[in-house]
Amino acid sequence: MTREAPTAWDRWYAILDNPSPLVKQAPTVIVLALAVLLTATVPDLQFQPFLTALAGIVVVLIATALAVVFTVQKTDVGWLVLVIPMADMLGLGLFRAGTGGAASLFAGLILLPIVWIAAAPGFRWVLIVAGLTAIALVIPFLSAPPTSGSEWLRIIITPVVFSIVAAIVNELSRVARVRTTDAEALATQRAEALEDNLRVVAQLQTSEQRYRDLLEMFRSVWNATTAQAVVGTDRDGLIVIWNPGATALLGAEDIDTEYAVRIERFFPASALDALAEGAPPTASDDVLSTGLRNMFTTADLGAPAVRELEMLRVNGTTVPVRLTVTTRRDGAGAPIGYLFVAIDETRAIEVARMKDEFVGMISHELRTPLSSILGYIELLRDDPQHPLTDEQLQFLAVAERNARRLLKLVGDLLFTAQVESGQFPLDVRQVELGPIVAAAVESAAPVAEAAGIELIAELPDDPVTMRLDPVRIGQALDNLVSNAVKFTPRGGTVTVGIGLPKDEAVVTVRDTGMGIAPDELDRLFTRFFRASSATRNAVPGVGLGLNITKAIVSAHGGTMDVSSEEGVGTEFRMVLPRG
Amino acid sequence: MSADLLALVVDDSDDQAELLRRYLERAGCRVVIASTAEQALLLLDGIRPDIAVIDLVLPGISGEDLAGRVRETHPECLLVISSVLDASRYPEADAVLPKPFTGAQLALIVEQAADRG
Repeated sequence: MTREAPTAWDRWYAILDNPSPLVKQAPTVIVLALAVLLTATVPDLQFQPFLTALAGIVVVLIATALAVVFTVQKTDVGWLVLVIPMADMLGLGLFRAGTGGAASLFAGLILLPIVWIAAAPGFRWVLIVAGLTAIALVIPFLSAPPTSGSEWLRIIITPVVFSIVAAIVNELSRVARVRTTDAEALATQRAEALEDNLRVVAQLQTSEQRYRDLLEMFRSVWNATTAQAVVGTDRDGLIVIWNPGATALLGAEDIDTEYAVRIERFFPASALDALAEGAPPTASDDVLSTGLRNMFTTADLGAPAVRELEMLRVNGTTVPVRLTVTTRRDGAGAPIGYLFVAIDETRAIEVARMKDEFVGMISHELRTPLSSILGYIELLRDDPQHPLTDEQLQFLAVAERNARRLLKLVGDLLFTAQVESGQFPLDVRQVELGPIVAAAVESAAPVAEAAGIELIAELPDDPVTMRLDPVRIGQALDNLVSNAVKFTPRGGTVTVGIGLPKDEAVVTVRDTGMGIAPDELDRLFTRFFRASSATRNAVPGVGLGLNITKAIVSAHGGTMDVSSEEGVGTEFRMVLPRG
Repeated sequence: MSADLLALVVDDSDDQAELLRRYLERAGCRVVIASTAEQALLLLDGIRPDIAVIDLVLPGISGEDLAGRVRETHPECLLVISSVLDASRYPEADAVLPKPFTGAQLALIVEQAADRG
C-alpha cells in the first residue's frame, strides 16, 4: 500500500492542524492593522488619547515579536506560549481605551486572543480570561471612573459574556481534543492492524513458497522413482496414487481413476493364498483379502511388512518382487491408508540362480578330477600284486593329504554358497552327542600328537541324547578342534568338554594357544575373515571354517560364543538347544 | 561266489569308470561299462547285472532317470548311486558311493550284493 503524494490542500491543512504561535497571532495583528487603518482614515474615528492607543499597538507588536521567536525556535514552551494572547488582551484593552474607551468600535477585537487562551486545555484558563478581560475593559475607566449605572454594568457584564464565550470555547476545545485523541488512537490501532496484516501476508507468502518448493521436490522425487513401484491405497486397498515405477513394473498406464481399482488386482491368486497362510481369519464382510488385511495389520503395528512374492502385471504375466507395506498417516498420525513399495527381483533371482549354478558346476568340475586323483592314489598304494617301497608310500601320502585338503576346501566353498542362498540340507535325528564329540577329538588326535599338543576330552558319563544333524555338527566340531590344534604351540593343551545347563548342551573347545585380538572377536565368524594371529603365524586356511560352524549351529537354533586372551588362549562355546 | 557277480558301471568320466572297474574286478566281479545312460539302456536289454553303479551327471538321459528305469526293469539289481554331488540330492537307491570313494567302501557294497544273491 503506497501513500498518495500530499496535495496543496494537505499542506494547507497541515499548517492549520498544528498552527504555530505566529499563525495564531496573525488574525489579531491583521485585524488590529485594519482597525488602525480605519481609525486613521475614517473621520468619525480618532485616536483619543493617542498615546494609550500607541501603547496598545506596541504591546501587540511585542507579543507578535514573541510569537515570531517561538515559531522560529520551534521549541515547545508549553503554556508559556499563552503569554502572547495575554499580552494581546492587554494591548487590545489599551487600544480600545485609546480609540474611544467604552465607546470604541474595537472592543470585539479582544475576542481573538480570548479564543486562543480559552482553547488551551484546563478550566483555569477560563478564569484567567475572565480576569484579563475585566482588566482590559476597565482600562478606560482608570482615567475617567464610571459615572452612570449603565457604565458599571458594562464593566461587569462584558467580562462575564466574554468569560462565558471562553468557557464554551474551552469546553468545545476539550470535546474536540478528546475526539481527536480517540480518532488518533483508532487510527494508530488501524495502522497497527494493517501492519500486522501485512506481516501475516508476507509470512503466508514465504510459507506458500516453501510448500511449493516441497511439493516440487516431492513431485520430482516421485517421478524419478522409476526403479521402485510405489502405490498408495486407502484403508481398504483402493488405489489412490500410482508412480511411474509402478507403471514400469506392472504395465498399467497412469491410474487416474482414483478409488476405482483395488490393489488385489495386481496379485496372482497364489500370492494372495500364500499371504493368507497362517493368518488369523478376518471379518467375513471385509472387502480385502485375508492375506492383505494381515499385512496391513502388521504395518499398523509400526514395523513395515516385508514379503517376497509375485505380483501380477496388467498383461497377465507375473513378476517376482520384494514388497514392503507401510501405513500412510495424516498430519495427526491417524492411519489413512497404505503404501506399497515393490522392487523387481527378477534380476536378483536370476543372479542368485546363476551363482548357484556356477558354484554347483565349479564344485562338480573340481571334485571329479580330485576323486580320480584320490582313487588312483589308493589303487596304486593298495595293489597287492605290486607292493610299494616305504618312500613311495610316503610320497603318495603327501599327494593324498594335499588332494584331501583341496577337496575339503571345495566342500567348504560349496557349503558356504548353500548357506548364503539359505538352502543347505539338515538331516536332524535323535542322536547321542557324546560319540560325535569323541569322534571329532579322535580325528584331530594324529595331528595334535604330531604337533606335540595334549588333546583332552572331558565327556559326561551319562549319554546326552538330543535332536541334531550328526554329520553337520561333526563337521562344525571338526572345525573348532582342528582350529584349536592349529593355533596352539607345541606343549600346549586343547580341552574339549560338554556342559549341560538346563535345556541346553554346551560344547566347549578350549586351547592354550596364541589367542585372538579383542577387536577381531566380533568379525571372527565372517566369511573369509582371518585373524591377524593366523596370518602373522602363517597358519594355513582361507577363513571359512568358523563361518560354516556358525551357520551349522544357527541352523540348529543354537549360538556360537567366544572368549579369548592374546598369549593365553581361546575358548569357543557351541550352545545347542535340547528338547 | 562273488565271481558270479556282474556289475554295470555307468559313468561319463573314463577315469572314474576305469577306477570303478579296477576295484570291482579286485573284489571279484565281472564289469560292463557304459559311458551314457542311452548306452546303458541298450546293454541292459541283454544282461542282468547284480550291481549297477550309476553316476548322476550324465549327458542326455540323467543318472536319476536311468536309476528309476533300472529299478523298474531289474528290481533284483543292487542299485548304487555314485556322484560328486551332495548325498542329500541322491535319488532312492540300495547304496550310495559318494565320490571320492575308497576301495573299502566298494568292497562293502560288493559284499552286500553277494549276500543278496
